[in-house]
Amino acid sequence: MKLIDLLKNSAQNEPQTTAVKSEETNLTYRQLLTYVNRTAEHLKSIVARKGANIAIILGNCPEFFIAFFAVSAADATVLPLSPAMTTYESLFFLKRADVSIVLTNEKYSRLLLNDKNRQKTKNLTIINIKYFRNSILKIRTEAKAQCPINKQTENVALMVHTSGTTGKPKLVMLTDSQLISNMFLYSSLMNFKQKNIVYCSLLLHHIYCICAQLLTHIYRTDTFILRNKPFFIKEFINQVHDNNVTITAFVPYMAILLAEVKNQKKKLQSLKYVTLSGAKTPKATYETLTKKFPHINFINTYGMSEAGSRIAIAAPFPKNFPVESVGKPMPGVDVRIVDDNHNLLPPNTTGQIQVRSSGVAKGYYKQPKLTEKTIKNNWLNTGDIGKLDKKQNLFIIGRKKDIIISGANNLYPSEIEQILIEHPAVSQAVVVPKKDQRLQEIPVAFIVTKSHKNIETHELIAFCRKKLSTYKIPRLIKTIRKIPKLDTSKINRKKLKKMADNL
Amino acid sequence: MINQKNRKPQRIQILNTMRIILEPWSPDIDDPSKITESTNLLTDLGMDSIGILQMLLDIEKEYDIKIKQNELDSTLASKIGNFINLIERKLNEAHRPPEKQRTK
Repeated sequence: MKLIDLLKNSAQNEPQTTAVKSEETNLTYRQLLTYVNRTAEHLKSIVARKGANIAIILGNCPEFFIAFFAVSAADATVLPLSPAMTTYESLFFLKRADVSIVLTNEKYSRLLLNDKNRQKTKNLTIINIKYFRNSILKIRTEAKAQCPINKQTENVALMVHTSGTTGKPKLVMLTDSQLISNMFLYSSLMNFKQKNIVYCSLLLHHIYCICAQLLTHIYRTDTFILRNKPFFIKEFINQVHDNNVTITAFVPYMAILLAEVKNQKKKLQSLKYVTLSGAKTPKATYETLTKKFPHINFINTYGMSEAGSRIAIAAPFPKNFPVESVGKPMPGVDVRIVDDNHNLLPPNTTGQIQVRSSGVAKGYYKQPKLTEKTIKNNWLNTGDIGKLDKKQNLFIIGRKKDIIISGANNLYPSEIEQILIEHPAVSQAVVVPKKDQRLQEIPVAFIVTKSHKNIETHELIAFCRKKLSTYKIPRLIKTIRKIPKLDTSKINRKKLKKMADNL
Repeated sequence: MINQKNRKPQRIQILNTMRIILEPWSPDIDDPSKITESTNLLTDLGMDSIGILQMLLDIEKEYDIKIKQNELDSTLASKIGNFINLIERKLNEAHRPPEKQRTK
């Protein structure tokens, strides 16, 4: 079974049901499949055989759905990238992932075509895809190149990046069966009794949204309400009310914003489920939400790209999960806690979280050594720290080294540090998280300048902004004389974190 | 940035402060004076939810005001002028003398 088959089944069973609804347009399941097939034909005319890597750079619009399933129908591998990326970032991933075709919108294709580094990816075919209200799908090829077959991603349905633009990026390869089996587990555990209206505000290219929203609700023939603008809580509440939305996916900052609103319970009457992921939702926020909106199930979930997405969920029933846990491992997903030597640890003991399931990824693209290190004897070493209690409730205590979680995004300090060091006046840079009330963490940079010269913060910020997405830009840049170290080489990030929190 | 907590700034001063706050978000604008009251935060500067939240924190800190979440929407973000209106309103509320003094 392939991802496209989920859509085909739904279109066959309920062709007239609305699949996606955006500000501009509506598409039924039959229409969606028709446009998917047409786009797939176009892709097939470019790549003669299967095995091409195709990137999608689109926001939450009907074209994302068309492009995503068209790649599956064309037997190719999809790499979804955020349209908020700078071309410096997207070109990095396009090159490293050996992407031969990009499906995007007019605005982004112009950015790619005008980028001075485009030479680096002259082997790129750029296709504009635009759906118009009057049932016209326009597919225009802006730049054409040869599309070689990629043997390494044969049978890989999806690639997602889990690192920044430094060194060899980590591109997780997931097959159709890994994604579909994980989606089935998740969907059966959620035990939906009725049709859902799904509100999509988080960018659909997140693995969390691909599993918990895109695949799950296409399979269930539900209706998607697409939000292609920044998230404002006021508009969210109105759109839930106007469209009778029943389910949505949040990351902590959205939950924090919802917890701040007053007297909106009536307007949110249709909302039954809010899944929470990305990072730990603060306990106080969770408690406020459940008190303010007792009719909504706020469901903590835990997952990661390498696990094919969902690992554990505090499924809607029974409701007696400890607030701070992310629920129980999904049936079919084995979770164990081990020490540094991979010895099994008893309940309530903190250690490394390992996962085994049919959803665990095939590995990292072109990184066999890293794959071998991360997935051993079918057990995925998540890198996260946690514990299981006697009832098998999973608690996440710490996470992968050095990752900063800000709003909906994972930031990789090394990526930001590298850009800072590229500035002619900077000799050393370390980026650490600073606690933030709404975004949980924000990136803060400590720099040492060459010959200890002064440099204006705004100049450095503007320098970063040319290469990095806005959410990665350090919110504070502090010049120090010396980077604190633990020994001769290791940076004392703990100390810097403390310094950042006191800024 | 000039701390403006203790006096009521002119509209143009608020715009200038917004220009400084917004500088990191506008890499394609070489001259900050090109940011005007009619600049659209979403389409001209391409700001996302996180960017807007961070910008708000800067504004709140700069003017010592508190902007509530339900005061924000896409219409507000569609023009910097709309934001300046909101800041002015908040500053007026903050600068309004206490009830007793006004009745005198």
